[in-house]
Amino acid sequence: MGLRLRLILVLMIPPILVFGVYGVLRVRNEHADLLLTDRQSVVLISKAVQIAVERALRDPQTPDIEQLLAEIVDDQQMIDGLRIFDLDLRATVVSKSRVGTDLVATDLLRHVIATGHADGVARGDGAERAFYYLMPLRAANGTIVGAIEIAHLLAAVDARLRSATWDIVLRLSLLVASITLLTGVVLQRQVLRPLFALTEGIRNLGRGDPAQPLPVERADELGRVAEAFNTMADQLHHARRELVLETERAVDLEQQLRHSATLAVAGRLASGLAHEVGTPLNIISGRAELLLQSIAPDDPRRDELQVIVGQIDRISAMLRSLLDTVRPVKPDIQPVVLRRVVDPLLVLLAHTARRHGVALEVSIPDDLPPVRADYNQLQQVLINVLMNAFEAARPAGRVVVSAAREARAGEHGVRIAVRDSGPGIPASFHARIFEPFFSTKPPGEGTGLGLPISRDILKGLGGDIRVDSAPGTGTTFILWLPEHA
Amino acid sequence: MQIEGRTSRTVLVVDDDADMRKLLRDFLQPGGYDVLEAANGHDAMVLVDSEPIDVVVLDKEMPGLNGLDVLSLLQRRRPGLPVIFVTAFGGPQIAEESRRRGATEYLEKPFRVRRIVDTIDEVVQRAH
Repeated sequence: MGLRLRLILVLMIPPILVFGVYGVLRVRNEHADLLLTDRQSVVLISKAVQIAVERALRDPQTPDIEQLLAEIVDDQQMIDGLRIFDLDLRATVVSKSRVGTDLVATDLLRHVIATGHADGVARGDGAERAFYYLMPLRAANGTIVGAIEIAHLLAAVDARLRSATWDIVLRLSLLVASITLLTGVVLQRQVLRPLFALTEGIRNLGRGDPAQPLPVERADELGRVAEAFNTMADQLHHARRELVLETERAVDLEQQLRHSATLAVAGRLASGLAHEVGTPLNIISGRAELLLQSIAPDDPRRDELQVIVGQIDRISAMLRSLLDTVRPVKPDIQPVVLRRVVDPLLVLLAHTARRHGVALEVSIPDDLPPVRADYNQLQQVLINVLMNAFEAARPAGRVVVSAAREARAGEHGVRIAVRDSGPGIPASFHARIFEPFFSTKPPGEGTGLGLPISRDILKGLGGDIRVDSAPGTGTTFILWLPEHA
Repeated sequence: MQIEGRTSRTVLVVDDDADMRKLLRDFLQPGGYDVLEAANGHDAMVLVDSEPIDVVVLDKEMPGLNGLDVLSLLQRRRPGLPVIFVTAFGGPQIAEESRRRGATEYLEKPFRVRRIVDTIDEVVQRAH
C-alpha cells in the first residue's frame, strides 16, 4: 500500500467515523420525527372520526353508517380504511378500504374494549404496511358499545423516510469525498511531491549522477530534510571526487613504480646477460682479429673473418644500446627526509594494504635527520620491502614500519624497520632471499629480483639491508642508511 | 714491438677466463711483451709482489676478490703501477669507480684486441 493511500486512510478514518455516527443519529431522529408527526395527525383525525361515528350511532334516526364511513375515507387522505367492531369483536360495519381487511388485531381490540383506552399498531408488509388505530365507541351513558379501527397506509411516510435517509447519506458522502479530495491534493503538494523529489535525488545519488540540489523553499520539516539532503549530497560529491582523485593518484604512482621496477628487472637481466656474454664475444672477435693479422692481405678468407668481427661489433652495439636504455640512472644523492618519501607512498600503500586485508601502521618520528639517498631509489626499495611484507602478512595480518637514529661503526644513520606478522623465514633462507631469482612465490608472481635490487640500491647509497626472522615469529627487514652530513 | 731501452716489458693479465688470458697472450707476446697470467685477485697480488710488472690488465668480474677490490689493493701496494681496467659492458658508473680507485685506462668487453695492445703500448710509453 502506498504512502498516499495509507496517509489518506489514516487521516480520513476519524472524520468518516464521526460523519457516519452523525449520519446514523440524524437518520434515526428524522425517522422518529416523521413517524411522530404522522401518528399525531392520525390520532387527531381519529378523534374527529370517533366523535362523528359515536354521534351517528346514538342518533335515533340512524343515518347510513356505511355511507358516513365511505365519505370519511373519501374525504380524508390520511384515512385508508374504517371498521366498526361490536363487543364480540365482530366487524359490524366495514368501509371500502385501501388496506387489507381480513386481519384483525384481536388482542389489541380486546384490550381497547376492556380498558377504554385508544391504542395503535403497525402491521403488514411493503405497500400493504399500515398503522391501525383502535378507539372505543361509547353510548351516551358512557358504556363501551364497540370499537372503531382507523387504518392508515404507511407507504407515503415510508417513502418520505427513504428519501430523507438518501438525502442525508448523499450529503455526507459528498462532504467526505470533498474532504478526501482536499486531503489528497494537500498531501500530494505538501508531502508527496517533495518526498518524490527527495527519492529521485537519492536515486540519482546512488547511481553516481551529480545530484540536483532540491529546492529549499519551505521552513518546515520537509524543507529541513531537503536542506540536509543537499548538504549530504554536496559532501558525498566532494568525498567521491576526493576518492576518485586519490585513486587516480594511487594508480599513477603504482604505474610509475611498476614501470621503474620493470626497468630495474630488465636492467638487471640485461646486464647479467651482457656480463656473461662479454668475454666469449671478446674471445671470438679477438681470435678472428688474430687470424686477420696472420694471413696475407690478399687472402680471400679475410672477408669471412671481417664478417665475424663485424657481426660481433653489431651484437656489442646492440647490447650496449639495450643497456643504455635500462641501466639505472646515476643516483641523485641528496638529503632525503624519510617522511617525505613515506608520506606520499601511504596513499598507495594504504590502498594496497586494504586490498591484502593487512593493517598498516607507520610510526616515523618527525625529528629524524635526513639520510644520504636518492629519493626515487629509496622509494623503490621501500615499495619492494613493503609489498613483500603485505604478501607475507595477508590475510588479516599487520605490517609495522618504524624508524630511529642508529650509528654504525661510528657513522650516524637512520634505521628503518619493516615488521610483518607473516609466517617468518627459516634461517637457511636468510642469505638466499637476497640472491637474484630466488623466490618462494608461485611462478609468475614474483621476479625474485625485488630484494637483490633493493640491496644493490642500498649498497650503492652506502647503506645496507638485512633480515631478522624465524618461522612463527614474523619477519623484520632492517634497512640502514647513512645520515646526510 | 720493441720498446726503446728495454728488451721487454711484463704485462700481468688478471682474468678468471683462461681463453681470454690466452687470447691476450697470443696478441701481446708477438709484440714483444712478457705475459704473466693470474686467474684471481689473490694470485695477482702474489705476482705483483714478486715479479717486475710494468702494466696490469685487470678484469672486474672474478670470484673471490673482484677487480675493484684488487684495484684498491694495487693502489696501496704499488701506487703508480699502470692498470688497464676491463669489464664486460660496465657502464659509466663502473668507469668512474675504477678511475676513482686508480685505474689508468678503462675498457669495456668486447673490445678490439688490437685496441688493447695499442693502449698497453701507450701506457707503457707514458710510464717510462
